[in-house]
Amino acid sequence: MKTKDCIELIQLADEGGVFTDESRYDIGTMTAVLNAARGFAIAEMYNKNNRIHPNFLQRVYPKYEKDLQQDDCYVMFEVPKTVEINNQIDGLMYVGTIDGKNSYWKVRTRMQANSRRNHRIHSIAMAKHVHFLHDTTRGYLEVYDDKVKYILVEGIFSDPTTIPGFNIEEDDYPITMNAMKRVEDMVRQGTIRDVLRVPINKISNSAEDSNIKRDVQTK
Amino acid sequence: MIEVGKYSIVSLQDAVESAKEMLRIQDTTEFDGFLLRKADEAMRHVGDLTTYVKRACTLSVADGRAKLPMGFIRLLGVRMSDSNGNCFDQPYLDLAFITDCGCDTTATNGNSYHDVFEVQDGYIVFHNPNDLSASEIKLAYLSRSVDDDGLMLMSERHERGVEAYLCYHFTLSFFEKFPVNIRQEYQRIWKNQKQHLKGMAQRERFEENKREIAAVLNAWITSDRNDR
Repeated sequence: MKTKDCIELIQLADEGGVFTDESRYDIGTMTAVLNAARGFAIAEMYNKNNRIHPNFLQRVYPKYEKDLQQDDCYVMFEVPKTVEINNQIDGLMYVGTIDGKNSYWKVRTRMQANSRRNHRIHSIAMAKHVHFLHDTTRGYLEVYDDKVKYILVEGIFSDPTTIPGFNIEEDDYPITMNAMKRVEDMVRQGTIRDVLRVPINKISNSAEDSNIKRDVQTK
Repeated sequence: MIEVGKYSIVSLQDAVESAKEMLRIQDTTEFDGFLLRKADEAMRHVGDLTTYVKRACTLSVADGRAKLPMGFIRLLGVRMSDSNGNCFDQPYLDLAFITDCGCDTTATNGNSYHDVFEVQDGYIVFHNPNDLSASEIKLAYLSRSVDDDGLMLMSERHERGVEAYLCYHFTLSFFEKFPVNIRQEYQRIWKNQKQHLKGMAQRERFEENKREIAAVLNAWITSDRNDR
């Protein structure tokens, strides 16, 4: 199912199945609605059965950029924002060697990394295994091994359409039918519609209705 | 009787992976460090006879000190040699042993001891490094069964118990996510497995001792009969 098809399904759900030529939505806003609802549905599904369907996953090969580096101890890579599933799963499903055979070990915060260095076994583990930190605020991955230059990242990204290599016209939007059904339900019930919806244009005058100055009834 | 897994050493990581599978946290590596630490702790906690081994190694001596190997518990013996492999007839004795009676005779000339050492902070330290002509020492020692990094080694048969220990402690740590009965079930398996492992190791040691005693007695009885 392409991104456009998903958006049409949401529109249909929003309008009770009646889709007319006059119904016009901002594509950017509708994509945002779709992405938000998708993230919500994935988190909901994971909390029910502790599983992530492979359809949700996307691959990214972050580029090593010399100008981005700040320290000799770790290598920084830029990664797209992810969907946070719960307090254990932050949306990154694999970070590791490019062949997908060796995943790096995750540390949640810098504080945790420092704290772990104080323990003998953790120190051994940190020396034996490459660790990484996901700095979600800045959108960076810090890989604690200065020799690492190529990595593979697999994850659930909050905006799948902006992932490098994703063709919005050709590629299937990363969602399952179950999740799509849930998204439709949420839109129909108004769980997310009211927040992100853009008013439908009713007047055909090449201008957004929301920009037209309404008649204000005065006394 | 050979027990399954007795001679098969596996990594602690095996138990970590099993526990992750049980806890359904395979989609993240965030807890691998925590689980590895607990797995090492579990093996030390089991403490059955298979977790202790006799080992030998060669250590380099620098500035009168030699770094002891990982898992070192107690010295069994030392041989000293120079870089050409020539051995010295020098009995080095532990300072703690020599001074145990309260009389410090270490400074006395003419005793039969050439020098003394003591074990400090993971090093074997010789008291008179200038008199030491050996560049390396061969050490026999009692050790915990550990790998080169100092992590405990475990047999296949330990895996189930260690896995239960990991699950128990993980559910204890994330108590809000797991019902009490699940936690108690893991704890029960861990307790049972620990007793089972200790008992099995004891029985094996008994069997080994029994065989040795029987061999000695057989030899004695046979030789006694031959003398008649």
